[in-house]
Amino acid sequence: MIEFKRYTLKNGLRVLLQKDNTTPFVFINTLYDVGSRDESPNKTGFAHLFEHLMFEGSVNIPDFDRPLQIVGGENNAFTNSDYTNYYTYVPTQNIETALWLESDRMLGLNFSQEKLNIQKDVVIEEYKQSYLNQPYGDAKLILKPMAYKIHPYRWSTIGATMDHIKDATLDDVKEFFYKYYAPNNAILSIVGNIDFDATIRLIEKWYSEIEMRNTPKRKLPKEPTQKDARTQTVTRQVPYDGIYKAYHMYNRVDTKFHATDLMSDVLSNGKSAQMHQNLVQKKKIFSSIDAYLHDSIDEGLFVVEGKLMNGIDMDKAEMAIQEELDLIKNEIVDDYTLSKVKNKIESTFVFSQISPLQMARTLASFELIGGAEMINSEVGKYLTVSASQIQDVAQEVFRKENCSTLYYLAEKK
Amino acid sequence: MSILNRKIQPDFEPIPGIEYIEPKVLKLDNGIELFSVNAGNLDILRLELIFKGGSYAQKEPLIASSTAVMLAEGTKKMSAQKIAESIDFYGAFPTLGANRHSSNVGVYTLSKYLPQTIEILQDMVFQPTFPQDEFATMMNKRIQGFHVQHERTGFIARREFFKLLFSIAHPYGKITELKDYKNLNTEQLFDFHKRYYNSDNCKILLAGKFDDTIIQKVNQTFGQENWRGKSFSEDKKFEIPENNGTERVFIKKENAMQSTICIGKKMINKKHSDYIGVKIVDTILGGFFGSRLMQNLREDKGYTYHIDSMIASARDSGYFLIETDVANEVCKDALDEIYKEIRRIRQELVSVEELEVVKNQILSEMLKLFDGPFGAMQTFWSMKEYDMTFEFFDNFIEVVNKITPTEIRDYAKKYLHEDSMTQVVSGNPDGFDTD
Repeated sequence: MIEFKRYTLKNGLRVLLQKDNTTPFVFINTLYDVGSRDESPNKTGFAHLFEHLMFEGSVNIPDFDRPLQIVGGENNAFTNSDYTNYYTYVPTQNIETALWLESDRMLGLNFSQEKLNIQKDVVIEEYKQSYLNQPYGDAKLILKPMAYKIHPYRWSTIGATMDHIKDATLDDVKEFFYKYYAPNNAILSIVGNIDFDATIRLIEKWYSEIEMRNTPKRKLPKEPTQKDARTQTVTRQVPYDGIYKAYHMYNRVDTKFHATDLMSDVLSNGKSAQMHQNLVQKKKIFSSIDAYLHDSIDEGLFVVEGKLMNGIDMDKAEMAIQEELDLIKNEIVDDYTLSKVKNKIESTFVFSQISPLQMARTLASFELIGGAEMINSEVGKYLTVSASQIQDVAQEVFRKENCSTLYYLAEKK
Repeated sequence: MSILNRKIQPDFEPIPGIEYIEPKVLKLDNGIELFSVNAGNLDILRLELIFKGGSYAQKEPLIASSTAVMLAEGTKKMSAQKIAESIDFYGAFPTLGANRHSSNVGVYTLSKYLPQTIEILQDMVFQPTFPQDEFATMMNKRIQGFHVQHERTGFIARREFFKLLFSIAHPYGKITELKDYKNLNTEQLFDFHKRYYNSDNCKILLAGKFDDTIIQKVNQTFGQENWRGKSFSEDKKFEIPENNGTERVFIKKENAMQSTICIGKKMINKKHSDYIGVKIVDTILGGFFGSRLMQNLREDKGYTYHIDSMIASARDSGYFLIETDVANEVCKDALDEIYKEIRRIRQELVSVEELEVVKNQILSEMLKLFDGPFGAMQTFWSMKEYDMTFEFFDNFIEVVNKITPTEIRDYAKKYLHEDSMTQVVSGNPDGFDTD
């Protein structure tokens, strides 16, 4: 049982505190409830570009990094389609510097056109480094708009195109800040060797004067049910053919989520998993095969991706995947395998607790979707999933008309 | 209510001292040394067997790493599938691999399942069968991996860099070619296993939460008699080449959207008395987010998403390396700025303010090395394998606290002259075609 304390400020800022006396550092995680799904279709990549700007100076503090570095602290952030997450950690004694910095950039930003221009360049290089200059790196950029036609998950967090990033203006950015970076749109979680009362006093001191803001209520279009199988073929300068199949699945709080997650483990988590054993070890059709889900808050995707062994025909490879999916649709998962994937869920959860940073992040992200208490109930939900529930979701998800397939072909030399 | 002054940084305290966690040493019945750190509040363990002998000792490329990986692909008792099933069933995470001078077989496991997982490890170490079919599958996967890596400018540049520094005649500079994958056979793995995977040659690390019964279990499993015969030592000694390595090499990759830059040289390792000084220079230059290279090339110019420098140790040498991926259009400018920063640290004195930041970053970094039982064990081993102790860190803290701007400049002068650097660029940068 992981114990934590919840506290809410008058301005709506939600606070979660967990004591961990094994670390000399304190980890401060700030989650803002804004992600790339909140962007407008002609200004994509914005939530992430904005994340970069959060380090470029706030209303009272011209430089975010130096004051943190001088107290021995470090920080970073990431953005996904659902939210933006910042973390800072410092030796426990110096927690106040971290709260001073984090609260000031919630209060207001103060950066120049010049800094915006530089960060646009940095993000464009990140775009290339992470997606375009990597073998197979653009596959996920292509797959999303195949699967989503209406919902904003159709563009990637890095942006639908580099042009949107190039076109961003200072006004756009300011507007985005006041819309979303509000205390009532944020969750602050802190893990470390802290005294609860003293920490709350410090939080009150630095955050309570930040005013509540009007955050627009999220109204996202629901992705219509896919009625026909979709396919696309691209040819790239890569050494081997690849295949990506994306199926629509459930949202994060759907009761069927856990069965779906376990199904992905049965198929591909670990070397003993079904697909790895059959397709890599036995039939030698793929050099690697993976089945995973985007555990996004709204209805996400279940993706199967594989790299073909040299000389294997694409039709044969796709058929082999289909056989594996048919197997899990038609035959019930045996008890041993079910225990195995459940054991792995339990052990992965225990190992995740090594990292206080991970704990702070997990508390905040659970708070966002349904309450930080989920940290103590999620594993239990996995343990109650039955083999027939896995079969049910397999039959519901793995339907031909629910699938978008990307054939990623190697250019013939 | 008092009015907050947000313009002024709240008071802060110096970085706290390290609380060293010194592992307990005990000998198993057969004499194997077991180092253990019993700490943390989670019921998890990391167990690792370390054998002397890695890529330095292999007769042909790939033997050491393939031997380690293939231990999980079949034993006299268990098939590859059975091994994978059992490890997954206990929710354990195996780690198998080889470094330059050692090979390691380990597992992360829930403490309660150690009795089961350790038996799987024992079987893998004592009686692997290196079956042909699994071997062929693994090699095909590795060959595919090799081809995919060759699409990465970072891989291409680093490979060339180490070749230039240490030459292909030395194991540190030996690069793997496609033919090496094709020439490898299981006989070589049997031979390597026979030479190095034995009790004479083994040390065991155990970290996490455990009680005496677990120590007893380790002793029962790996502490009985001398298993697997006598040990061989690395039978060939290689001289580090004397070249001063100032080549500049460009490898074109037509379709690359960025270019990778590697700049560096051979360097003293952590056993050398100047190491700590050079490490401080390296930190200022490129060792953290606020470093000069990061501030200049990313935060000021937007040439790259990331740049860093590092100083790394190997048993018989070491190296210094600056690495970054930059936009093709600015590659030449980026090179100029990198050399400008190296020159600047060699010529100008670092300010007291900058030095203060760097000192605290280093002290905090050291604190992190001892955060948690796994970290503490890894840090211990990083010293032990060089026959060093935690005294190194006491010394480090002392040097960091005392070092002056003049001394820093002197270290840079002595070790990091820009004319002594090897440079590799891989990609499709503007203005390189005429070179």
